[in-house]
Amino acid sequence: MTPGSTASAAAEGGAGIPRADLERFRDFFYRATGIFFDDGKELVVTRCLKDRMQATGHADFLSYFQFLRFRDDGAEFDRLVSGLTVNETYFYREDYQFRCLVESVLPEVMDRKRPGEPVRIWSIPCSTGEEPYSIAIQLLEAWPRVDTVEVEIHASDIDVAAVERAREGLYGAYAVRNLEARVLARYFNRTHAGKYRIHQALRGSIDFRAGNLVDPSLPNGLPSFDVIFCRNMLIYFDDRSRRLAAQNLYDVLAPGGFVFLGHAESMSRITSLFEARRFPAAFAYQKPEGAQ
Amino acid sequence: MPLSPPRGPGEPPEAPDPATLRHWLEADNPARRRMAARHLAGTPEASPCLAARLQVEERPEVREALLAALICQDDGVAADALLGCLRSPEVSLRNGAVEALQQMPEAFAVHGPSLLADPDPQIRQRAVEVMRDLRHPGVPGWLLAVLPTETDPNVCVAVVDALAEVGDAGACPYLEALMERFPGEPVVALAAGEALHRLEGWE
Repeated sequence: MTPGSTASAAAEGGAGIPRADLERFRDFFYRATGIFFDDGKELVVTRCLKDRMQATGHADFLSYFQFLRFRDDGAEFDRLVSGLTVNETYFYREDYQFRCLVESVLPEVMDRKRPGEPVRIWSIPCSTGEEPYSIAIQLLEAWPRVDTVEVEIHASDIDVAAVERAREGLYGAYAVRNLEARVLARYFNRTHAGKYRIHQALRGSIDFRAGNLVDPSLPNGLPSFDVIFCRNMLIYFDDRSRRLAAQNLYDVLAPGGFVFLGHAESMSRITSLFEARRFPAAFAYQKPEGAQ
Repeated sequence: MPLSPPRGPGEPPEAPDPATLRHWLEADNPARRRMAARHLAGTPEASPCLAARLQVEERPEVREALLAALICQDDGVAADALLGCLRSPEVSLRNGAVEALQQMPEAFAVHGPSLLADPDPQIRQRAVEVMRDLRHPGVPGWLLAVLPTETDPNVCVAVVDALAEVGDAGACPYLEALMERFPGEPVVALAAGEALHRLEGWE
């Protein structure tokens, strides 16, 4: 690389958007979502921006950025977020949080339980079921009290078709790639088509139903949860929806209950109602024990 | 299988009528006040009572519900109440109002920009703070309009920081003039220089 091309590369991002513009976008996107793109993501960001500029008919970045900032009703921003975030799910994704559940969170939850009182866990969004089934498997494999404590696992998603697929519990090899052969053999049946189906008993142990976390009436009729997994969803919401979702999470959590968010998400950017808790394996957000 | 097949959610209880909810906003029990605020969100005519409660509410979980409800109302009464909270001595209420107003661009636009002419520089600075993340096409113009006359360096720096993100090359002459107006304020020169670096070439 010549000195001249180095200077050019410093002034321009990887695919032709000036670096100063990328920095402006990065600041805006960070404040809007809490997601920060370091220099290593420059090409990914540039490529996504160019795709969105083309899709919305904007020939230059300034025109697109001003559209995004001032004229977008939120739909384009959502598409941009989708393009810039990974939206895939599989068994034991971010499994350190499942370890944290068993090693740190459930012992605290049990300290507050009366004898015979069930532990309630909610997975939202549950997508096609990989997360709630992973929680169930983790409890069965690693929580010593699973045979003596009643545990209810609820799972919800706004996508009715996804919920139906979750109930079916049928997965390809990609979804189960993180599972040990022993675990696969114990909780899945191999189908003739080479897929993996969750055992009927495990499927029947989870309450799947459609649900939207930003439904203002959501808390009505729901039980009080001890732990909620709400991962990689808030980053797709606008500020108003994010705030509503946080209010709903607060209201459906039992006092002292915990929320796990995705690794790129932060509750403290949305509300100060929760306390951030750092455990050896992961972060979680806790509703204060004294809350009513 | 040791995991229990859960019972599904029960039938949602019927929400109380708005008159009862308004009464509950003054209840001693904060859980009841929070529930009232949540149920009143989006109810026509509820803005005055939600706004009045916000001024005196001390419990953070109730205050959050009131702020969310006022955002949902998104009307002039709600915006004016939140603009009033920018003068609160309480930091958490002020910050809550800033964040709430940022989510109400049209309602803010009615009276919010006039705060840039407020005699109190702290209020002017908070108005800029709202605008920094306000999705409204008027923001660059509102900010540019105050730069030639703003006398407080801290407010100037806040405006410049915001313009660095939402402005374009048209802001450059304003920034250069600002640097000349505050020769003894290195922080103004630093902020304006950084903004110029970003904005030059933006048309």
